[in-house]
Amino acid sequence: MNKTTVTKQNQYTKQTRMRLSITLSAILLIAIASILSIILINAQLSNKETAVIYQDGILIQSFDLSTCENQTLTFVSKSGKANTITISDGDIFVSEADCPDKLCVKQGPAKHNVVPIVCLPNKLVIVLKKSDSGKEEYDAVTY
Amino acid sequence: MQSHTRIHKLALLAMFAALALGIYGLESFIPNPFPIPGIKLGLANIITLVVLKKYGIKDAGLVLIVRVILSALLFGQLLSLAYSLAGAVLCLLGEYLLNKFLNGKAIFLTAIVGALLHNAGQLGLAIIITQTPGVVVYAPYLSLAAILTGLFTGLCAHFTLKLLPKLEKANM
Repeated sequence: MNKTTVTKQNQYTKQTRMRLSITLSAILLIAIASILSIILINAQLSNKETAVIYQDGILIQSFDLSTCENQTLTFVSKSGKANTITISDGDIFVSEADCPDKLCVKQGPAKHNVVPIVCLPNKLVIVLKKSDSGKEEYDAVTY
Repeated sequence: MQSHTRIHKLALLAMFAALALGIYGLESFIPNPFPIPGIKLGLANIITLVVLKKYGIKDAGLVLIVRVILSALLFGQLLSLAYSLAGAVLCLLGEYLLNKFLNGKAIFLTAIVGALLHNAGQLGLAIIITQTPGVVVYAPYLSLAAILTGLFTGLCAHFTLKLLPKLEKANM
């Protein structure tokens, strides 16, 4: 009796399969958690009362966006690079920047209390705050 | 590749290091379309994975250190060296452990975890150095990007490893 059967040995043992599922589940968990946190963060849109500007980690100026007038300011970093910030109709955003990636400009008007607008190369940070919270969230921002 | 001599192996590792450096350098010219700092393809991880699977963690570590130091000298400042090192070392360790854990199967999972760890290492160091816990806000965005780029990187590494033996046969 010649039975020529070709059996392919299953390379995935039970143990390996379980470990693969564990890893995959962990990754999926992280993905879901990330998506949820992004939704939560974006759901909290700021009421845009106060904007605080830090340069090189030091608080430079703060504005009451609901009452201040439209204006444009330029901040120059230690390395001589400039960011131009525009306040218009209660919105604050970076209109021009001397940095290589211009991420700060791309972010548009500041929307959230939690996520600041940051120009990392020029060390500029714009943060929105609720006016009624007495304590400062950051006294200084260091790099 | 058959390492007939130590010199042969050293030359091959140097080639991989140069390759990693080149990939990293080219990749740095791709602009970041997202408003989140630090999002990139992380293609150099392909080399790390390939060397890790072919030669083991010590040689992969060597190639990694050479690549990180040279790229920091050529493309970045001193501070970026610390960040690159933090991310890359954590990534390598994690990939080594996970690869063992999975018995070498499903490299794309190892790559994804590697990418996640790379981001975690850099973010963690950023929090420590700048003492601004607020930076952790970027974590979910970075993690999602890491999962996607890690998947791509892992698949590249997988197919590279598959094709390497054919290259060896053709060359020798």
